[in-house]
Amino acid sequence: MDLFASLALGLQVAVTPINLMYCLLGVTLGTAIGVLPGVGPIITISLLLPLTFGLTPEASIIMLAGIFYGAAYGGSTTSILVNLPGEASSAVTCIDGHQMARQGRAGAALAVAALGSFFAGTIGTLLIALAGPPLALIAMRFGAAEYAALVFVALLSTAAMTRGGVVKGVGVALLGMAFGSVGSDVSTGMFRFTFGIPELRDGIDFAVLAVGLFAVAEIIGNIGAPQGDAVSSRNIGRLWPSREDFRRSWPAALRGTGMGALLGVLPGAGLAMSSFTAYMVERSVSKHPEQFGKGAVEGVAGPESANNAASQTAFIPTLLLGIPGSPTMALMLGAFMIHGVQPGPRMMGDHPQLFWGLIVSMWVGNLLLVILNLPLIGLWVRLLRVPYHWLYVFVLAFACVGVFTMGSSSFDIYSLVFFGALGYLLKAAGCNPALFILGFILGPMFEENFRRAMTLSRGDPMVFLERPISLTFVLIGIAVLLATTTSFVRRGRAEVTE
Amino acid sequence: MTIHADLLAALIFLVFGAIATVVGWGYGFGTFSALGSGAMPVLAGCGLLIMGVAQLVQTAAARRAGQAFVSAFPGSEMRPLLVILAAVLAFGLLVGPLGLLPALTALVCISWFAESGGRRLEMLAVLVVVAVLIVAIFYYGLGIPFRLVAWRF
Repeated sequence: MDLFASLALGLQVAVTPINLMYCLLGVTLGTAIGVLPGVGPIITISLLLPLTFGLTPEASIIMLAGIFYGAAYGGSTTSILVNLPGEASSAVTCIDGHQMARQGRAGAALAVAALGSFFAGTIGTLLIALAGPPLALIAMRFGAAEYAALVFVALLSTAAMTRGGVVKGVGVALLGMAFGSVGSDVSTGMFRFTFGIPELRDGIDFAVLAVGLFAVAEIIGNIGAPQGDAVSSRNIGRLWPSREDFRRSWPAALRGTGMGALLGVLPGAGLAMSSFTAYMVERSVSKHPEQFGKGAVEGVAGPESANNAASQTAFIPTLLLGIPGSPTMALMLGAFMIHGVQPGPRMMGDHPQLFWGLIVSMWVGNLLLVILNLPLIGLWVRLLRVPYHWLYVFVLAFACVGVFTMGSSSFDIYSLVFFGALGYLLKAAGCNPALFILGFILGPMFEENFRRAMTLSRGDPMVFLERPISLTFVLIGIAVLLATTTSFVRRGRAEVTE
Repeated sequence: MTIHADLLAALIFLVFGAIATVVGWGYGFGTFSALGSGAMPVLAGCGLLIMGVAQLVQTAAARRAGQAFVSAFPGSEMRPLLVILAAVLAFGLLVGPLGLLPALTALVCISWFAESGGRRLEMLAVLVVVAVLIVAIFYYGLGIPFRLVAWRF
């Protein structure tokens, strides 16, 4: 099947009225929740995850993709209007986007962000469609050893890149892996860490874990935290960017898209790094570097395009290898698995409708965001003015009821209390709970492939070093670890000698 | 001695690492060519223990260097922590025997006090809004068969 036939098939799936409606619903809900101050994409997706239960796999995955983009877009809206980034990747947008808002040009900033994201999303979609078939062919040859090595690298490099240091990063990822082994062992059927609780036999419910770690823990941390700068959100200004804005934005969007698309594929690099890199590049190539930080439109267009392109190409390892490169992708992968869809090299061949439907839906979702959300911006601004006191009560109620609907079991709610407390502790300890999710999802994959590889090699661990692809992955992992630890040691020494 | 962020991280890693290793060992490590159910928990647990010790060593080095530490638990966060968790717990306890609406009422009324300065009358308004929205979204919108109010003890 060539590219166009595949995309046409996807378009057929994506634009059926019912799927289009779910995409629209996902985009709208994702934006509505994502725009709330302090609520980033990860919280939004985990909060809305229970809503997709009970739909057909296609509809639910399309709705999830809509939620994903809506949440990202809502996050940048909050950054620009109230200077409160929901997650690290939109922190960069705050710098110049919020300055534009203070100058009464919030409308232009939002429009540039939306148009840049749409452009980046379109390119990203094409890249997935192009890269998909050849990559899946390569991935088909992966054996257990390659997969185990790949998971190892993905985990290690993400853990090493996170703020807070390698030790905490690797520790939290391992903690997630340990929690991932709760439930019955796939190979032997033995119940592990169930402590006699029947509800734990199928493992820890992914949605409960995500809602507890993010939504509940985040509410606790946010109460009493600064509420941002709501004053500037009253005046949006003209929505359509000026000709000057366009002239300055499009090269920035182009560069941002290119960098984001490249960095998005790498595990661990992810969104934050792509938007940060894009900002740095824009500032260094600009003829007016002094305007950056004071409302330069390139400072919005570049990073926003970059992080949207990255969030699109991040689907490449997730969908084609089944290995998520970032915590948000781990969340999406977990959501797919709840719906019985196992992403991986076979997904394209086994479920072409689902695969191409999802790819095209991403693009349709981006399009819907631009044509629907720009006119609706007044509504989102009003949402921003809801006092936090009302907001957290509602989000908490939504979280509890959402989790309860999945199993109608009080045990899920008690687990929510546990993971809320754990999430709070991890944050207090300076560990990133998002890495926990990554370890939780990748742990079982690593275990399965590691055990299979060891069995096939009759207990010889050299198997990971003898096969060229696997060896490459292991070497990359070690290189990343060495690079981060040595710079860490250097920094540590510098601190001690100061 | 204050429990600061780095020490807390070390403690979390050590506690969970010890549990995973000890309990996991009981599931059987197996042999290298046939790894048992306990292999992965033991590996993850040992890794956690190593990270815990590494974190302790780092912390000790930083302490010797005279770095000042602040407590990981600021007093201002204790109230939201306990109140929010209590609210969720109350929801879980009540939703089975009493139904959705009483459980929601408890959730809203308890969680309202996580932040100081809320007025009682406002709480009632929030309760009504939240209940209406939740019932509209989940009960009517998604058609999930909740028992809104049940009297079964």
